[in-house]
Amino acid sequence: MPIFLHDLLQHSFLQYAVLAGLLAAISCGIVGSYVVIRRTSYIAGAIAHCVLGGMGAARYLQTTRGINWLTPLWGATIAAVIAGVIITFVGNGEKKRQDTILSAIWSIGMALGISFIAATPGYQQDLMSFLFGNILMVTPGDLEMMAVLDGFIILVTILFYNKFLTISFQPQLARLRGLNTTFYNLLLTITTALTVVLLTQIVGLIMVIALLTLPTAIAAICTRKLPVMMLLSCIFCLTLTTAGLGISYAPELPAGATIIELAGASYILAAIFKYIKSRRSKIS
Amino acid sequence: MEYKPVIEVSDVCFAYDSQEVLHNANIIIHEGSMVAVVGPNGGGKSTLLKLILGLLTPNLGSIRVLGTTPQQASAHIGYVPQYLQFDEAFPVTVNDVVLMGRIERNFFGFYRSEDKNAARNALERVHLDGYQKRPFSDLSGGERQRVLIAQALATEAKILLLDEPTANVDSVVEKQIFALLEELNKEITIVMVSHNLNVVTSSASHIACVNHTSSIVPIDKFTEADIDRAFHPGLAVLRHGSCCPVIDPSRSMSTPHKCGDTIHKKG
Repeated sequence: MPIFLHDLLQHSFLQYAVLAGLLAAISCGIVGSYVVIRRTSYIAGAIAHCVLGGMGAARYLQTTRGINWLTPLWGATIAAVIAGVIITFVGNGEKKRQDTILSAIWSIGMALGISFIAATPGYQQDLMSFLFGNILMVTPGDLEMMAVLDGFIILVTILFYNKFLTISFQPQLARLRGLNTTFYNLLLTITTALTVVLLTQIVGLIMVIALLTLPTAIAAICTRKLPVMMLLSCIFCLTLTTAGLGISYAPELPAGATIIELAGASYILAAIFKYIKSRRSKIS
Repeated sequence: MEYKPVIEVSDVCFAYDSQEVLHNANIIIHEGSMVAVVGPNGGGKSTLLKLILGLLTPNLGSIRVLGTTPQQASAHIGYVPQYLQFDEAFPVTVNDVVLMGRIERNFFGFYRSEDKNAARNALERVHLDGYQKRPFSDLSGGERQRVLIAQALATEAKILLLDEPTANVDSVVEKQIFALLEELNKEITIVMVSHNLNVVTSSASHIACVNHTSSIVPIDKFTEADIDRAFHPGLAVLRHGSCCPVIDPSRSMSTPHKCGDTIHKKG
């Protein structure tokens, strides 16, 4: 940890990494709360894995066609939005088997990504950083884009807070009151997709669901008010990413994995604490 | 005194896929009445409610609500679902839930002071003032059901539709809820689905029997023949202090339906 703090002042790549953690934590707390209370982490998982297709395609086009602006982050964003649209329009409906459609998106996206990366000359090591994240490689350009995505997510969730709450809690009421539930579902799914993209920068696409749900799950143990849950979740996410980065830095452990292990351990501790507390209140 | 009809169901047939649930259902509900919809499980009570709400459209026949289509009238209908449908762990306060009844009024999700006043007012009418900030999941079943009634009142509905408002509550709470509904009925038309004829018959002004087809009778003309038509003959019913003996249920189950062949192929 002391080495981390010392180097943090010295090296800009570490400062970028911490800043990336902060930007990710904001959307993680807000959107993670919706994912947890709506029980849609499987949707987030499908989007996260399908994003590999976009990243691979972007890297392929960058290298072979010279389209330089099309960074993997852009590719991920486009793929995530497309996946969000498909999930909303094809996957929603009471009689449809949503999990089948999600599984298809999940695996087709990954397959495309692997094929694109295999076809790209040179960049084989990309695959590992897409899958497991590479927070230390975040560039100022990535940070700018993360900030823009954050801005969009915050704006949408503030403007439509009550609408999202209603479609999540009482979808039938929302329909009866004449709300365009498809539109709000789409908006919320796309917001989730963008958050997933932000978080893949930190922990990679395989471990995204953990970062999206665990800080909120801990927050849900502490409170039953949604705004408080969102705020706590942001704080927990920021603490976990920064601490994970700090712990992993000196011994050169993989940062993404360390962050998730820390999050998992914190969640288990919180759950045990909750269990003991509820036992005690039952006895007394 | 003659009241104008608020819900007119005329010759409605409705089928889920090939299974016909309602056949030639006819019901006219007048303003200010308190109608209990009774009938056996699977007889089409909930389907009828969904048709009136405009969530389903009839295959044949027509439904008019407040002189227009159910979809257009839906702004004036307050629907009260069963509290058990909701996620226990969902982080909402009582105030959040009641305000959801007015969700369509502002483009962005912000509520105005008139919305907040309406919500406070609605909570007072169900005798839950002071509960605003409580988490919904903290409340008892009966209280949650009253919050959902408040939500429907906050919409400024002219008709209240309730789906088994006293399912999963004990008999004391059931009486409280019916007392509340009787009080609300002074200003608002109430239609409720119920399985409990006992309490219903002491509060309702009309009974609608729905068993694939339907009929509606004022409470003072409600006879055992109507019950027999709605359910299997011989079902025990307590009503207005009088009591019919319980007949062996296994025998009543084996007797043929009196209303005859009501399920037939679509078209």
